[in-house]
Amino acid sequence: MASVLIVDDASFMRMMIKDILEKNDFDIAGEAANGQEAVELYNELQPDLVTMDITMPEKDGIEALKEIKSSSPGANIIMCSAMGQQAMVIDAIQAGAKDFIVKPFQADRVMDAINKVLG
Amino acid sequence: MPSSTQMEANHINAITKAASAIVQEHLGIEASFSTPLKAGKQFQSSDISVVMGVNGTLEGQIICSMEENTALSIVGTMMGGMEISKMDDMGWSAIQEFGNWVAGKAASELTNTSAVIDISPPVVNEGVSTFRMEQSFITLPLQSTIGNFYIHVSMRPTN
Repeated sequence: MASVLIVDDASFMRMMIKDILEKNDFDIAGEAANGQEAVELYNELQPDLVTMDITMPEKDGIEALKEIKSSSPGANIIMCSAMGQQAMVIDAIQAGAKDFIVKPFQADRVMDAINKVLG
Repeated sequence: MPSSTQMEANHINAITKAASAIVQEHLGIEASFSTPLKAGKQFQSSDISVVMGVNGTLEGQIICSMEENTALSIVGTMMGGMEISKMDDMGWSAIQEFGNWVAGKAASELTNTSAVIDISPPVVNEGVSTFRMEQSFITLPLQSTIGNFYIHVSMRPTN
């Protein structure tokens, strides 16, 4: 069973993503509420995949993405953000994100992205 | 009035389009905007307000305000059609996220006007309050089947 680290500052979003993943038999490796926690938990837990919000206090998701990719180039990170402007998407993909999901999303969009990355 | 203190119509349109997309298309709540109101440098909010800062080529605030019953209906819809009778921590988080969705979508719509903005993490204000600012606000009223929303916007080009 693949393990996922969920990163979002909103507990509501973490709950929604967790619910989608659990219904699809994924293992929740952990949850982080900001970019700094995400980097620390990634190193500790080594999950198969990360869902990463962008706008977060302390350290944003793009910074966290870059830090994780520099120490773990093989990391599978999918961005999940309400900020879906083209420039933001390009930034994230260039920094190594595998996909970019714009909030609000449907469960199917999340599962398609995850299955494609892990498939 | 100098044009730099006026909000451009295409910026206002981008925000109404964004709010309609989130409320109608994503949440499936029937809604329509009525004529924007010029609120001046202060306005009185409804029961619950989600406050977000705008930075980038434009700067200012977007504040989504609504009555408590409307907020409870939105939260219930966001949770997949649950009946919510009281706001709890998860409800507060959901209503902040609602504001984030509207502002995020507005940021995407604004790129069509060449404005590039970022949104600060939302803050929620509980209780009817008077908001004051140096710059003028425009109020965008959105009538829906679950009650009225008011989107208060103050944005001007960054110097």
